[in-house]
Amino acid sequence: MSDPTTKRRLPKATYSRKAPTSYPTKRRRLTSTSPPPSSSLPPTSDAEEDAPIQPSLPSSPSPLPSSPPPRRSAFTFLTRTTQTPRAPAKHKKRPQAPPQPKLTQSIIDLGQALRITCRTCRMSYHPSTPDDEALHKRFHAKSVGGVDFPYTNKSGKTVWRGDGEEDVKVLLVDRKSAPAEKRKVREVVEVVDAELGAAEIADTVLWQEDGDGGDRFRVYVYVHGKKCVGLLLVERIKRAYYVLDEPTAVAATATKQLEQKELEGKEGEGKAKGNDSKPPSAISTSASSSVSISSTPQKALMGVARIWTCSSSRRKGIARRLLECARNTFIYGMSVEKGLVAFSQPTESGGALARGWFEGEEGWKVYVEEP
Amino acid sequence: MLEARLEQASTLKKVVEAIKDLVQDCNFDCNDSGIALQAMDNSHVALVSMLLKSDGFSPYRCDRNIALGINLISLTKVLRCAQNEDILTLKAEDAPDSLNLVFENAENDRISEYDIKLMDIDQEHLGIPETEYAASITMPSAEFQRICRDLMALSESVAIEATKEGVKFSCSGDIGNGSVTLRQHNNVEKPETSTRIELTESVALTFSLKYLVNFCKATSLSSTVTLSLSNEVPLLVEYAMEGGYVRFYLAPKIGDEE
Repeated sequence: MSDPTTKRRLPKATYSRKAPTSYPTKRRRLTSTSPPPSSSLPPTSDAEEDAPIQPSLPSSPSPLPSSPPPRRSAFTFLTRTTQTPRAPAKHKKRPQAPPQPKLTQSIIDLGQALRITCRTCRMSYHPSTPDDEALHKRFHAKSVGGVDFPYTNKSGKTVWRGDGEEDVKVLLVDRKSAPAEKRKVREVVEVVDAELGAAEIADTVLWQEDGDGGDRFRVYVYVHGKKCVGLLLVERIKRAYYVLDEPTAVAATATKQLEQKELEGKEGEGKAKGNDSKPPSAISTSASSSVSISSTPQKALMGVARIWTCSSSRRKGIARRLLECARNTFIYGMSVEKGLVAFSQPTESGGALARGWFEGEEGWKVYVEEP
Repeated sequence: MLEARLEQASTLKKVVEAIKDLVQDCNFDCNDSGIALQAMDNSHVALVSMLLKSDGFSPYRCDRNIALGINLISLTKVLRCAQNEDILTLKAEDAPDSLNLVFENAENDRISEYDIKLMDIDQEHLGIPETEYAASITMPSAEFQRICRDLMALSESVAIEATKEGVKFSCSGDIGNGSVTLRQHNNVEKPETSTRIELTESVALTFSLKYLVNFCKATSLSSTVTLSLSNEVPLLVEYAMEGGYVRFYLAPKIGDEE
């Protein structure tokens, strides 16, 4: 944003003006320190109003002489203390703050990159812009440590509960869940989409009904204490394709290639969503995170659209737990066979999860998401 | 292979202590002339540049240029295990995974050895342009620290004004305003307590006190500090030590031109 100015100033001047985004607010906060004394006045006047009422109490014919006196003394004491600061408050007002020239913190510009990409959460931002920095901080915390997920007993269907000392459980959130819960899930899904580089799913689509009166999507969230550290989004699907082992794929000419999106983090334990419904037919086997699929569609029931765990909670079996929960509760009264589960285009670690879960390099299924 | 022996561990302790609040991770660039460090704080307002010349070590050996990517908080933790009088030896391979630190205490024949894991930090090497400064003030470092701390109580920024008469640090805040003026004076007996002002033209600039107070953590490195100012150019605060320096650059606060 400040690029053009920096380029111009590069040869001689060694700093450029910093975006004044947060500074004015700071200033505003500074000047706002004068109002508080005046705003503290109303309470004192209230106390003053209370005080006159108080002396009238003992004068009223009361049959109990013992209880009112201590009360009265307490109140007169109170009014006195509240009255004393009033006088200085008036004095404080007197000196009018002289209008200070507005100053902006400039930055040193030696031609360094103004935009950096966080290694952990992979968000790129301008660290010199306080707003951007704050935004990154928030996102980073969510991505690394999980998203705040206040859990109440009332909320949701708990499909699994950890039996250890730690408070862990898996909740199911679907179309019929409470709006507050759905909002919370939405927030988690946004973090997941950002980390996987996946296209956003509109709210209406996420809570959409499928043709037969069921839900199109179901969300399983893994809640640890008050944080959501894992999420699984599953959908009803009909067809999926077998994943071929790499050497086979090279030989097969009729294979389709699902290219992995570049945005995804290598650590992202999840899969990206494909925007286009038609997978590109070009064959390239160099990328390790890409998979080759067979050309003939197979029957499938449950599609794993997103699976994610926050980076601090990986390698703890959370994703597997979520998959098992989904498998057992996706269709009421039955457990979905592993063979009928398919993944959407996996990331590198998503693929590793799938290979581990299906116990094989090949023979597991991927499906193409529909927009 | 790097091998550098410092007679007093306190030198490195103080240097790291002085910069660790400004930058978290940075590269120590080692070559045959010494160990250098250059890093900018996250907000790009301040820059620190440090050099420990090879003469300051005995012996010093560095066959190849090595960049040691270190987390300064970790380094501080390890350096706290060293006593000020310990002899400190830094060792690293040519393509190191870790930095080896050995603290030797001559008094009670104790040898402690630590390894710090290194990290890959892609840091750009920024050329700091040579600047002719309009004003250069050399003063006792403790005096500068005192002024910054005192004025910090009143305001978040300080105006530094260098004229023929002297240098004036002034600030204005909600509770009032204050200023400290230093005149040029020369103490022959104790040269380190004198104040020297070299001036080609008068300069007035405003800086954030938060950063200056931060820079003052380097006070123990040197008895004197040099402030160099020019209009429209970052302030240079230099703590020169035997066999090296720590330099801080700070971008000024400027008025809105609109």
